[in-house]
Amino acid sequence: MKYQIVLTGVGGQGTIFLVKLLARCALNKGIPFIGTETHGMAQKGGTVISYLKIGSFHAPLIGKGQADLLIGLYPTETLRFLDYLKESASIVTNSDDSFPNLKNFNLIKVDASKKAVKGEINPKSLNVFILGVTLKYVKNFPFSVEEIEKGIEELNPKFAKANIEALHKGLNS
Amino acid sequence: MKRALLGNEAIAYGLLIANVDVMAAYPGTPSSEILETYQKLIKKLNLPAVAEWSTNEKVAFETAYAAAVTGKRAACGMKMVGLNVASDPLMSSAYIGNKGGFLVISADDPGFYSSQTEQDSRYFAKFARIPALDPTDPQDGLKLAILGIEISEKFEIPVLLRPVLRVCHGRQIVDITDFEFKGRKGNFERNIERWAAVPRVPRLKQGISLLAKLKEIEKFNYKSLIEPQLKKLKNTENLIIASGTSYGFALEAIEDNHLDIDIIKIDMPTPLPVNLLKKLLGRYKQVIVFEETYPLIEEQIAPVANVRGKLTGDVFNIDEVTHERIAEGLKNAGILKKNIYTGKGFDDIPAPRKPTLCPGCPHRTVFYGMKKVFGNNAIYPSDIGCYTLGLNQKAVDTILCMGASAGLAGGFSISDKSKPIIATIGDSTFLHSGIHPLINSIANKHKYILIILDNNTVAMTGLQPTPERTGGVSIEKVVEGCGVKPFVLEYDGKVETTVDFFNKVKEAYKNSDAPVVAVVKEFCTFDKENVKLPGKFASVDPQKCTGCGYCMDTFGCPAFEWKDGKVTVNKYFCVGCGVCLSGVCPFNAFVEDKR
Repeated sequence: MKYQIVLTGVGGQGTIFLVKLLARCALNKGIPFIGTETHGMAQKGGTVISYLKIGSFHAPLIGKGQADLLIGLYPTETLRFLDYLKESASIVTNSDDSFPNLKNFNLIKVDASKKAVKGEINPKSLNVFILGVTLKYVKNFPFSVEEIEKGIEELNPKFAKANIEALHKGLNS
Repeated sequence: MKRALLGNEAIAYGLLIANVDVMAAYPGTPSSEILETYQKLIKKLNLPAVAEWSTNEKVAFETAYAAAVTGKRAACGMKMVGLNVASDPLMSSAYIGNKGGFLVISADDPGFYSSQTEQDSRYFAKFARIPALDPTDPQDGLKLAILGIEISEKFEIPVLLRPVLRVCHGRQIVDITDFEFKGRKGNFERNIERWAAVPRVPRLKQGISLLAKLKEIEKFNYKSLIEPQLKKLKNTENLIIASGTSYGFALEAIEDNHLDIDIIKIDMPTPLPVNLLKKLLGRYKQVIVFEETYPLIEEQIAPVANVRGKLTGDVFNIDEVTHERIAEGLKNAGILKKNIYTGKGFDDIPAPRKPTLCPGCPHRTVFYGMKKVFGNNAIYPSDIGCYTLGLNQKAVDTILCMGASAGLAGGFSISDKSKPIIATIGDSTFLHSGIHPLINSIANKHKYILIILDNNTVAMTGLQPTPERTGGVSIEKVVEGCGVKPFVLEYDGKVETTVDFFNKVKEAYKNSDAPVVAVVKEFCTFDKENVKLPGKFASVDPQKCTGCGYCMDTFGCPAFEWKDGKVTVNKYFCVGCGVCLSGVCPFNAFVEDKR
């Protein structure tokens, strides 16, 4: 299997947690994995972009036009990196109604920021909520709900309950 | 045992597998997690080893090097600009050598993601005449960390490990072999001729023996690292030579484009066994070299083969390696017809998101108050750390390198006497290399204000502890010991208090003929132990907001957004620090948002 994912957001939203989580899932399944992530400057509200390549790869970055999926935690950052995507790739993004209708892609939108401010989801679990939405709508996503749940429990047992709850809110969205 | 690891974590495991029992480092992106992980692991596994954060890279180098002199295995860690600071002991230690293995880890940042320069630490190795190792990915980082220690001990020479950002912050499934950690007892054996670097006779002898060591290491490089790869070669028309991350990218380009081409990975780019490679390289019509960031391998093999690379203008010469850039290089060499790595971006890409101080960060209030009191005419030298981002508030005019704010302020004070000079520096940076320029300025009566933004942690690199927290070092007393009594502000999250404080500092500055120092004691919003946010959220009264943009230009909280010509507070980003409620808007448009 070869599957390439771009993850974007704003510093502090928890993109790296998602990378760690999916890496853990790959490890549990015995699938090779390579990727790279943003640290440092971007903690300060800047753009965050991470790359995950599941399957037999050698380089950490994704080539332009090669990714199967983009998970975007903030709308402006989603729009910034469309050039990494293959034609007809999937995009799952946090956004309000103003987000453009990107016809060439399988686009899934959900207004998670609004839900976070309203208290419908915990702002700290917005990342996992979006992952739940991804699991629901993206058909060839390489991991199952059970595999993700297991990864969440192993990675951070302290917040596992809250995160799994957020995951299911995404699944039921 | 298989683990999903960051490259820096993998390197830390490598050090433990290699029985490194002393490590010292100064934090710097992308290197910081190496010592952090090493420290965590020795604690968790209860290993007899020592991990220390040093006040700067030269100190880290010397601490670890001394351990290697006593026969322990040791490593020091830093980012590449830190190697500039540690270059003095590096040069001498190359001549003198070590008894226990000694690994100098310098993490490079191709692409300038969090650095002022790109630099290629491998050149420092060549300059100092020590071997350099260039890992490709996290797994390779682990392997070469172990190999580095072994080579260092075998040849009694420091070895440089040069992971780049994409190795340090690459993540991969890494295989960690079982290891039994046995620390060593250090034993310093007096040998004045060797360890005391006095010119000339013993040093000439060491210089000559260093050259002989390098010849031996060249042979080792060929026999152990290059020769095993030769069996795989198919003698195609062209050959790719790649080092570090470039190797992984080249492999993917070969696979994605179904190319039939030989490739060799160079683990040790210096010293390179050029004479031993001559015959092999001569067999190929062309040799294409991919490496980050400078043409180190290319320069060495260009005389013995038909080489295409950076020097010939065929391969990218700046910025990090990408698939596109490898494909372009192969296209230029006539090996690829088309660059397949293209994608279509969004036509109307949103304006770039600038890095800014975090919502609730006290530095923002300090810059705001400072600018209000000292105005636009002042010169504002600053330094390396989060507070560099004060440039968004136009409260930072210069950034050169660690510690340079006080050094430049001294220079400005004798070169442009017409303007007030207000320099800013963080606590860790002050202790790193800000003390010496301050001492110099006190001795030479340079007149400026130095504001030490003291949040008690190295915030930008991920909250490493500072000497204040771990050892009770007092910045106020250090400053006082240098000869000036500092003004001290206990940050309270109110604009008014901050402005009052700087007015007092300004008065003192008028009558001073030496540096005036102010210490602002604050917190980092990520520092769980010390963070003090009152939970006073803000919103904007649209009736009062005139859309003048004053709050954006002078304060610039990332939660502020423009909407229909007026400012609003993005509820998702507001953390409730309440500072904007305490007098940022000239029309009092910020009002409390009771949640």
